[in-house]
Amino acid sequence: MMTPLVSHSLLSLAAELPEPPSFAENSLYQVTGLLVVFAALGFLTLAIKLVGILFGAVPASKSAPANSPDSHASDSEMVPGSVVAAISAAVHIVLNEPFRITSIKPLPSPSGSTEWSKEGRRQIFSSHRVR
Amino acid sequence: MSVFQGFLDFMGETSFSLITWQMMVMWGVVLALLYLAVYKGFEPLLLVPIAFGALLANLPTRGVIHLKHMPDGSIDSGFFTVKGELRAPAVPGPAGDGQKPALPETELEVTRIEGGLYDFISQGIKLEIFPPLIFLGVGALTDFGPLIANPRTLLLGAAAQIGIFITFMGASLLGFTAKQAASIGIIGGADGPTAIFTANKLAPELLGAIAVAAYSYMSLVPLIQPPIMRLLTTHKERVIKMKSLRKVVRLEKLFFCLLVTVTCVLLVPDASALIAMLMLGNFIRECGVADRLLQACQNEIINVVTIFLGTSVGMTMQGERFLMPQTLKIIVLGVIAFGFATAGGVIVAKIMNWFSPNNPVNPLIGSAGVSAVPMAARVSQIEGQKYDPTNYLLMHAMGPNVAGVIGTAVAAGYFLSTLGH
Repeated sequence: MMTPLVSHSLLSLAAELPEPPSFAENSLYQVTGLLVVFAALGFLTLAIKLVGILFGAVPASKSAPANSPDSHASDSEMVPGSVVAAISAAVHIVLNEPFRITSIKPLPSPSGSTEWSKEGRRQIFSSHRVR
Repeated sequence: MSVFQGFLDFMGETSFSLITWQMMVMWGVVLALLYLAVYKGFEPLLLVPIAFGALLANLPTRGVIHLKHMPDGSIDSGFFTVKGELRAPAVPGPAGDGQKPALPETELEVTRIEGGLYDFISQGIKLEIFPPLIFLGVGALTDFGPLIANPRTLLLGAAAQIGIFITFMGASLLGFTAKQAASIGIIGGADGPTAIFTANKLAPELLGAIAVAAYSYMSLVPLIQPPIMRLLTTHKERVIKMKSLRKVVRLEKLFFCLLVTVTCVLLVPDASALIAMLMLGNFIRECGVADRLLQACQNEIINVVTIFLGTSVGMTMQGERFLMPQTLKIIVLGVIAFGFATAGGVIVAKIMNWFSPNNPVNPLIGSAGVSAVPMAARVSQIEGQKYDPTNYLLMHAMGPNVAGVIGTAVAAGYFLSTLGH
């Protein structure tokens, strides 16, 4: 129902845009265009919010590391095996003598970097650079 | 025949005598583009094929592409010839029951198709196949999660489109027709495929200049945006820390694809090809059951099409039609478009904070509303960290960044709906 109405109004607007258009006509055309963009994305904003409520969106996890230096875990059992292997290999290369890892504690970096933000960065940086 | 005479005869067959001064100037342009791409890393995936295509367009090649001088004095390219014979069948067509005999059907027998390599490949742009296919890959590479988690950032993506409309007015004042002005304005959306898609439909004579301006400025986003962002924000605003984004479930992402497709196609049907392919690519990504298709979209399809798209665009940059005063105007208008687009996003982010002081938006992410994905979001992140190293804006900025892609497609659809018929 909406398409013919909208299309018709847009076409009639274009028909009213003479060549060359006056400043007022041009302004009206641009404002209408901006309105169309805001209407489309504004509708999507409301719809997505509604959908988020309907799907029972999960609120931000309290355990999610969010720029808080105090949120680091100290339990080495939480460290994935692959990380332990990587750290062990690095220590072996650096020390080049027998060693034993007694604990692994993630330290806050000077910039406060977190695994969450690192993962976000990794995803973005590994994405394309085409456009 | 002496050896010398033979050599002279051979030289007469070469193309050296066909070199024009416009070609030599364009070689300089090609070198500049290649320098930016190879040594400065500015959008190399696009600028390298574009520059190489431009080089071929400005060499007296044979069997690559053919030019055609149009009646209005302009030059067009990408034509191929279909030769054939019309044949009438020996017997007339069958007569209907009680009706007069059917007219004999005339058959066209194609005997030869003639054209250069890029006369055929350029059809991907002329028939508007390449930009939607690029969007398929972009959709497959884009995570709309940050946008879904914080949907109000869609408005920042909409606000950044103001650059398009202001530039349209500027182009009109400089004497461009409405169709040309719309094509130039789309540069402000910072979305290469959409700019090409729109220019091809509305002002194909400006396609080369518009594509080069769009991709060049997209690569210059880290230089163009920061001064405007700093000018329009206070230190207090730049250090705003935004709340962590909530988790978005898969079903929401799938529903989002369908919602955007239906909404945008209904509102601006002329942008259907772009929106539909963007969301198809994203649906393939998020559904999680079509990994082979996802791999194809993210790699083979977008890579192959990028090569063809870039070189085809470069092929439109013949010196005779590129070295015009209007090209310089387009370059200037392009940077104006980017400037206003950046400012629009930042200003609307500040306005949003008036209405939601308890959940503020860092205005630096507003600039990411121009859809140069993900570079514009990266600029927001870098600028934010300059003032607070512990502030991570990247994922927040991805919301308006991908919203800008949708916003630019809608703006293009508006122009195509109103001017393209």
